[in-house]
Amino acid sequence: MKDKLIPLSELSENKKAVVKKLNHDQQFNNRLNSLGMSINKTVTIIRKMGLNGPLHIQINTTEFMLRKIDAEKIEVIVE
Amino acid sequence: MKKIALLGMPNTGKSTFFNAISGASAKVANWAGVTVDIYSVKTIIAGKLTELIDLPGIYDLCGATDDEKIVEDFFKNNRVDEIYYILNSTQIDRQLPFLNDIIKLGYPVKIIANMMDETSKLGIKINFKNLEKITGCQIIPISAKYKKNIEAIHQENINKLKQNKCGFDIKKALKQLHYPKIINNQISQKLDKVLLNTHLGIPIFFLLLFLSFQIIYGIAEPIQDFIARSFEIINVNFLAPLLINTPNAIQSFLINGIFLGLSTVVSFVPVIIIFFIVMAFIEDSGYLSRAAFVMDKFMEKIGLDGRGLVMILMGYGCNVPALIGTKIMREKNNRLLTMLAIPFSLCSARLQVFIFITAIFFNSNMAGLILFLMYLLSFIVIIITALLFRKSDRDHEPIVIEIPPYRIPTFNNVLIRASNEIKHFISRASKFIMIGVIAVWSLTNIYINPYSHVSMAQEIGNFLHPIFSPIGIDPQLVVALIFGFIAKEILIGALAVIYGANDVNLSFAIKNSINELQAISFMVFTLIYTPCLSTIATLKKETQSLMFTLKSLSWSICLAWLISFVIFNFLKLFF
Repeated sequence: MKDKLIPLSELSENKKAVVKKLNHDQQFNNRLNSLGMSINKTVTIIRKMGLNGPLHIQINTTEFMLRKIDAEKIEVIVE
Repeated sequence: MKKIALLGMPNTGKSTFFNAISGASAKVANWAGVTVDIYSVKTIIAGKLTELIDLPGIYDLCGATDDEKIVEDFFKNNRVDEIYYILNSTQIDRQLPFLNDIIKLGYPVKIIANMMDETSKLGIKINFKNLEKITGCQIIPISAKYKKNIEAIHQENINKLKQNKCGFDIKKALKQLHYPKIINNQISQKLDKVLLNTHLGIPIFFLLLFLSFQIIYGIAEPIQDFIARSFEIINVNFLAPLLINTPNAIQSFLINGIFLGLSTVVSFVPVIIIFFIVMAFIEDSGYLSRAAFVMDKFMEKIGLDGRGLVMILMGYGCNVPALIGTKIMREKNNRLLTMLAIPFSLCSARLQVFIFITAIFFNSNMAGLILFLMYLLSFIVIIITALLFRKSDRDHEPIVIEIPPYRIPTFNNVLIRASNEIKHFISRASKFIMIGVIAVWSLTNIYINPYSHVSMAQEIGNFLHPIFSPIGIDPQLVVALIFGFIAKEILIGALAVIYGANDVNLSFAIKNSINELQAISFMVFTLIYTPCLSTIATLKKETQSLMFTLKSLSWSICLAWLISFVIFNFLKLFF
């Protein structure tokens, strides 16, 4: 189970995971990179807003919001 | 003169740094190949007269967003002597890679490591000496907010550093940073537990919104009234007596044309200033992006996002600052869709007209209900517009919104922001507003046939009669709508002129010439057809697109007719 890739949207709150794949277009991948989300970085989901709302994500000292639909295209391995 | 470009990612305190150096003396300058306004300031840096240029905050130089294109165009068409790359020291790990792209532009780069006050609190250690050697760039650690060590930008580089044109070894550079195992920002975490709570977040958002509304319009409206009265006093006591011997046409042109235009522009000043003081406060405190987080789910469905909702709701006070405020949205489609929706927010000026008309035709209970329905209609029109004009689900535009830690805003920064916005509004929108006011004056004062006493506006009213009669709006009201195009505040005054009545018997005059259904249709049309000239001017200024402005305008007018038609004819079946 440990090495299974899951979409970031399925990671539970307060769990850490390692980013393995960014499946967005180049532009958005670049944007994610510059916010610190790149391959092999550890990401934490601080909270999920109810009703399939957006995710509050933390990478090191940077925090940002991603919609669930956009987080589905990011694949991670649970730490 | 030496030219220095200031570059940095969003949320690095770039404007705080720029404001700390420029004070309120920043000016908009023209740069080759760039159509938007870029602020710059002439100041002495290290003993040399220098122009410091504040470029928009960007994440990379790939040209994906409008701001990135602006910066790209700027460097394509202009040369500078040096670049200051400002970064947020607490996020230096992710902001260093961008430095490599900046160095490749070929200019000497100085790194301004901002927010040093926060790094020590978080326990982040950075070996600046080694980092200088690796990157070849001089590094100046500062705190722009507390104005700490800013004077160090005047120091010359003493350790002979050399920039490698091909960039530096990023891995080596990252080794100079030491982050603690667990990042603890307890205050932010605790606040977020409440403010971003699934159940509490939304009520708190509406409470804070209500409070900001009260502050903005509670303060601005009395000032606006005072300004309106002052202009009236100037008009009656000075201007009118002064012009008494001038020909009627010139007198009317000066008073109802130029002077009216001037007072229209000035009347927006207090609300814009206070709006941006409050907005800058909300933004600098870190709450704005959290409001977007909390409200995002509701907006996603109609193609907007949480930030857009904040601005649309703010538009219920006044559309003009709300349109300017959409600047915080970096995704172009998202921003344009929000700008298309904002003019339908029932602003306080339109509310005045509705209160006036409902008071004439309905008892207080009924009037209250109708006002409520007008608000409801405004929401519905916004949703219809967003749904119709959003990009289809297939072209879904991914968004990411940074959530910075909570910070206490500095008053100085907030004030400079507000003063810049007002300078902007006056310099750009006032010309457009003046032209519009003069155009409407001409329509209502120029007679095609000098012997008939029928002004061009009345002729237009008669000409448009076939279009407006199906919605119950007679030619006289069409003339009022032409006036209402300038500003809703003057619509009631215009009605008085049109019906040749004074304030007291205006109610009777209106009641005698139209019925309740026509009044409702007139209000619905007034709500939707166009907010005011200032809104249109702002739309044009902010989008830099005449096409978009015309699209917004024609959509509103068509929709206004359609909805008035449906409501008027539906009600006719019952009454």
